[in-house]
Amino acid sequence: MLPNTKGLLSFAGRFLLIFFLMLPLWFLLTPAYNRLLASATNLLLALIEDPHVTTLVGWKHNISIVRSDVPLTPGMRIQGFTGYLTHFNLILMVALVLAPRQIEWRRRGKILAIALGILSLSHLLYLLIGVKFFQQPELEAYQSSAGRFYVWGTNFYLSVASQLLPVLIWMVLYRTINGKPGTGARVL
Amino acid sequence: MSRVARVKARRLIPQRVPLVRAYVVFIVSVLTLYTLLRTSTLHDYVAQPLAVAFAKISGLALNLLSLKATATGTLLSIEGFAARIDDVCTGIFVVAIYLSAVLAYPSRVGEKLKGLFLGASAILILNMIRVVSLMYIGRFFPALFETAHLVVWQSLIIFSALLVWIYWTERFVGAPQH
Repeated sequence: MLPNTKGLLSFAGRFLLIFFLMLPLWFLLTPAYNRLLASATNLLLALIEDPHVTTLVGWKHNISIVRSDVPLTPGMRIQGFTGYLTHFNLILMVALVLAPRQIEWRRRGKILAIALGILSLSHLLYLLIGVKFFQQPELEAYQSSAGRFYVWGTNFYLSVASQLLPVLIWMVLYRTINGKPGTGARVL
Repeated sequence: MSRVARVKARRLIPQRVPLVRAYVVFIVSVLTLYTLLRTSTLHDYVAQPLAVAFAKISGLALNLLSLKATATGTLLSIEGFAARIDDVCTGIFVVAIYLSAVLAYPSRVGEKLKGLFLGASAILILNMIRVVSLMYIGRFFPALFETAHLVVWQSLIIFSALLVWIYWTERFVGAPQH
């Protein structure tokens, strides 16, 4: 076994431990975070939508889309976002930041705060793009370049960016915040 | 800007150039591969056959594990539970992310090829374990299926890609290229 393989395996072990410890906490905090995300997105929607007809409502593990121009009727299907898909990457982010050894807690805290801030901004952006995506049927959306962008953006976030962002943020922050080039894998 | 700051900046910029180049190559490669994989041609000739193969091999594995499984196209069924394997479930997008990371990291062509083979194999094998385990969870613990599918396994697959990539940079990439 190579010397670094041992370090890598212990990094993986610590990651898994933290990941599964964070999971119940994330479930507990999801409804509150959904409401926070919905409120923040509503502020932005009020600025960019004309006329302003869309409101997001955080409801348990989902974020629903309510439109003031479409009255609610019994049995009507309400569109929205699943909390799992929108921000499951928060657990991945926390586990990645906490798993490496030999990093001062002050630096770790700084990285965690910045990383969670960037991820929250990405969640906001996803909701804004997703609202536009849900406003029109997919086939209709392909008729305009903006519509194509909303479809592409929503699918890209769900298939790639939601998983990739925490890893990318983690790597960039470890290099830039008091990091020395080449120390990345050594501190694992 | 003071003289000291100018000297520091002059020293830092050349050091940062390979790093910035690597990030740019990585992001461009991810966007390009994702867009290509979403085209109907690659969907029909790569993603769809891979999903069918995944369904078939997972079906065989489930049969070996004493669960009567049948695979029809991309639909995998066991007693009391069925799931359709779409292109995202094959892990092909994680392989694309991994491939981009290998392409972006400064290394020789031979090293990149080794990295690609090692990483793609590891990710696809782990994804097979994911599919089989999800079928078990769907059959015996249906309440946990969504969490295991969307939260746990998605994170574990991308984390495994990161581990394989770090392993490749440590084990297979020659020191002068670091």
